Amino acid sequence: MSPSEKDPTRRLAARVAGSRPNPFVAGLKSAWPIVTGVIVALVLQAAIAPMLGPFYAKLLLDIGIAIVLAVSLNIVNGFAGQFSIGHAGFMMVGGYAAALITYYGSIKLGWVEPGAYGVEVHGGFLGSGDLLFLAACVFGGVVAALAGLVVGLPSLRLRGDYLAIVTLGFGEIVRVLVQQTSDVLDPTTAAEASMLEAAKHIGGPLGFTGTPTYVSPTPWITDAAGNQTGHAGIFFVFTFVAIVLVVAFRLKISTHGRALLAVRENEVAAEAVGVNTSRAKVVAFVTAAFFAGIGGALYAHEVGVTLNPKELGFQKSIDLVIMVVLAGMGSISGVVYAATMLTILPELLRDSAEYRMPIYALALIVVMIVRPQGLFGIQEIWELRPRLRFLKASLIGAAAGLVSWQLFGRVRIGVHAVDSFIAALSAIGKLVLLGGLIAAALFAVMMLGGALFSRFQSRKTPRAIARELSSERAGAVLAKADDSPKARPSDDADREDAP
Amino acid sequence: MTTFLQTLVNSIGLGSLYALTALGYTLVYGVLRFINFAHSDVFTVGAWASFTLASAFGWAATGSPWFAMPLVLLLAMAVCAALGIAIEFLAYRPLRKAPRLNVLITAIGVSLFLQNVGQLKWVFGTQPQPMPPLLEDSSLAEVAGVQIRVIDVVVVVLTVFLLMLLEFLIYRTRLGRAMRAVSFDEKVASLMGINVNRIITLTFGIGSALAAAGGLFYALKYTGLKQPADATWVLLGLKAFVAAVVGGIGNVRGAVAGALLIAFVEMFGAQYLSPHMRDLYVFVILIAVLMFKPSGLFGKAVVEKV
Amino acid sequence: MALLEVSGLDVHYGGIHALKGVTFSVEQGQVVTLIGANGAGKTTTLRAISGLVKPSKGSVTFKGRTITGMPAHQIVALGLAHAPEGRGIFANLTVDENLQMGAYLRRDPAGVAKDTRHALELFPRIAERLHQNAGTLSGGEQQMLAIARALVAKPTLLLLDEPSLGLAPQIVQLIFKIVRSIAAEGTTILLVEQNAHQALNVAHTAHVLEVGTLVTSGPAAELARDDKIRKAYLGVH
Ligand SMILES: Nc1ncnc2c1ncn2[C@@H]1O[C@H](COP(=O)(O)OP(=O)(O)OP(=O)(O)O)[C@@H](O)[C@H]1O
Ligand SMILES: [Mg+2]
Repeated sequence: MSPSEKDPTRRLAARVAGSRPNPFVAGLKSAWPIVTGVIVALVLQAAIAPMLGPFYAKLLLDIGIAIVLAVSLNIVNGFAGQFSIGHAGFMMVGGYAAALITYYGSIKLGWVEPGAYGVEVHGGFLGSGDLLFLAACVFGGVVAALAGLVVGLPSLRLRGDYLAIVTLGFGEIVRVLVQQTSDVLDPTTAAEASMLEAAKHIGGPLGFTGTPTYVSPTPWITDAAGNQTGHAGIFFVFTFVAIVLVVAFRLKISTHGRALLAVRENEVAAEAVGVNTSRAKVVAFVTAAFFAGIGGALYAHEVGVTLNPKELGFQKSIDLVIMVVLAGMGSISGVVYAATMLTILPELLRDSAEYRMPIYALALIVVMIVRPQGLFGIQEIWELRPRLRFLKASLIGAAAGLVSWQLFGRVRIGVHAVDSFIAALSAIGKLVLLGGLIAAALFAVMMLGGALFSRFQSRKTPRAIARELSSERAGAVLAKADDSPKARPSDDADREDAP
Repeated sequence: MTTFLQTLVNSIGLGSLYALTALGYTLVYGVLRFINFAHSDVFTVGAWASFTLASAFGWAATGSPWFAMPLVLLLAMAVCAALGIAIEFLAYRPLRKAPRLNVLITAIGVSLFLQNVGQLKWVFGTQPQPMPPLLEDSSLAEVAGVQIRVIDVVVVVLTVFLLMLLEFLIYRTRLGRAMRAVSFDEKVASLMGINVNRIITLTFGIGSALAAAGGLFYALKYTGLKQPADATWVLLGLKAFVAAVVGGIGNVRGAVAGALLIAFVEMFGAQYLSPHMRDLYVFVILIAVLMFKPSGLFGKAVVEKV
Repeated sequence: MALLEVSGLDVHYGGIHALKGVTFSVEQGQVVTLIGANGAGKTTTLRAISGLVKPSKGSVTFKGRTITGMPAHQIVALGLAHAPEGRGIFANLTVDENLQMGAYLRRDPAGVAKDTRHALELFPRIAERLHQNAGTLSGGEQQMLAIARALVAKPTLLLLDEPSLGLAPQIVQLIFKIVRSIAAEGTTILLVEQNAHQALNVAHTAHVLEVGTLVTSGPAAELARDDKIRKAYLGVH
């Protein structure tokens, strides 16, 4: 037995290193979910979107963008437990950076007729315009990531509520700065102006008008003459959804992710077991900001959206926080679930829109009191035990909503104030009914889909990791015992590297 | 010189409003160690409740008698105190032992709730409203070319009065001692026979009543009331909150000093640098203070926390 | 009927079972001491009595009333004072204000004045520092303040948790002298001490705690002679 083999720590290290996949293989392994994602995105774009019609296709876009944003926020809030309430600030940074590229870039590239109002999309599917747009998205992400670095640094010194204030202050500062900029230059003037000059003209309080709408729900169709109409917005958005999901999942089950979770649970203890907490936190901020920037870039080019500092203020940050917190901080599928639900509901329930926010707020408070870890906690939807409790709860909620809707829909007292209150109860009941039904349906779909998905996934759920960790620990103990003549390793896994 | 003095006078007026609101953040932080994000909404409710009361008395149309303003002030303070106590009881008390992050998120939930219930049509509605002038809006005096308005004088005088009252309460009374004791150590405080929950409730009541005063003064000073969920309110609350943090949250005198500082920076920045960036100065100060002295400018130096 | 009766007390801190069926009583006018090694559960016993932790089983009666599960401030109102481990003075209040906190529930200014005077006579060093912030007192002075504060409450039953902790031998002597004189004035005392020698000296009755269970009880003088106790707690070999 060589000295290095004798040292149990080294033996354990060697074993762990041996079990670590080589980066190339790992790269391939992580490629297939993205490939699947891209295929799904293509199918959504080419087959599903045309069937949905413009309204629902736009909803699909909104959902996709919300997922990118919420999942990115989950990395810093959910994984690392660094409470950020300025996420819309990163979104704004990314959105404006990307719009700057596509708008002024298109003009510089001579794609815009002189005298035209605004900038149109250019080129066909994956043509030069699309490439410029994709580059702009990445650029937006990078600029936002730099901002994330700037905000992440104070997080090294500040904790909890103070950090929340700093992120909030950051969001507000970005908003005020953007509001100070001047009106967008029209294409003719812009053609002459330098890019630096252009950066000062991003619309100010009125918003960045005239950006090309690369993210549009209209299905892309090639007509007989070979011209394309519409654009592949859904494809792009869901490709980014796939990327952010894969990154988030891989981060969650990686050493980095475990480090982040350790920071979240107990920073001092994490430090004590050798986690570089500073690095972990900054990595979380930068990654989250990068994808928020991409989300912002997608949003900036969406149809019907004018990039506007007012829209991306504190309120938007809070919307994202609600998605993450309600779902369960750390659960990726939970956040996808919440982002989807909270995007669909307000669209479908426009007639009772005024009750939407009070109900969200109440739901947030109740969840915090009753289930402090959020609906799904850190677990993915398909890891939930018992599985069907949530489904049952949503159906019961829906039934209660139905009763309230029907009951209060019929009762009138004759006193105006009381009646409007009763009417409100009825409206809320309807909202809860629809909400409950959609919640149950979406939950069922995600649970089934997730179960399928996790079957093909390398089985590294937190549960599996916990098991792995405990067996590693047992291994180390056994390895130590192993040096004394009395004890023999009994664990099968350990026998192979026993001398 | 005149501009300078005028800006100074304006800053003191604005600083008073911030101070009244900042105190609520600081008092609650003192006893519960969390940032009550819903506090700015209590301020909003204070302003809107004042409007509703003044309108209900019919003073919008007829002009107001001399007792109108004190009466509305007292009623608004009572309404908000009740609201603050209800919030504490329903939302925060069940979380007494929960992690702070949860309490923080709950506070955000309460804030959203108040804003959005406020704009329901059977509460305050979504329309901006003009506040009935409960005070004559005239210039009281002109000193060295500086306009001193009645409203500013009344606001500053009442604010100083309320602050002195609070100071007296905290440092000279049995209740104040109990508040400071709870702030230092809840368990030992309960061993003195202090009903900790009752002290926390009272603290919420006091903080909320002060915010109501701030809300009324704000409404009187800037007569157009934006709808309850308007970003203006959020921003106002945020600035008051920044004042509390800059002054060292948990520190009563620090909150007042922080409020004046923030108001000065905002007003002088707006006057001499650029009027559009006033929000920016405030948040830059916040971040600078947190980076270099996270416990706030007066965190330790002036007085102990409450 | 004893002044304080503790029966079958169980306390859990999360997964930790800190007290297991602790039963004893304290008679009016007695000094009772709880001794035991670090982590035996002495502090926990006092906390369970004064309502700072909720026992998971068992009951506590004080003056014939069941006080199990009552909030601390109500128990204190019944005439119990608890000078907690680690002194628990309010560092942000002045010495004077700390003493006033002791009398928080009392409504008889004349009586408070008398007891404050008495407490200050016992601790002249405190009297010299009334306007100082209590946080600036030395450790020994803080301990004196904590006891003085408990006295100002004029309790029927005084719980003292390691009053001699970290004090110079001279001050320890002083503290025990004062404990004795408090007891002589008729205050019932439940004393937790590491300094078993002194504790057995002032107490009438003693109980020995080992990992959450009462293992021995008896008159203090008898226990002080017990060989096992002498070995384990008095450091006599
Ligand atoms: N808040 C708590 N949370 C978890 N465990 C606790 C807590 N307080 C005490 N314990 C545990 O309960 C047991 C008894 O503690 P306790 O403080 O009563 O001991 P003690 O007898 O007073 O010891 P010492 O003489 O060191 O003060 C110890 O094992 C301690 O670790
Ligand atoms: Mg102890």
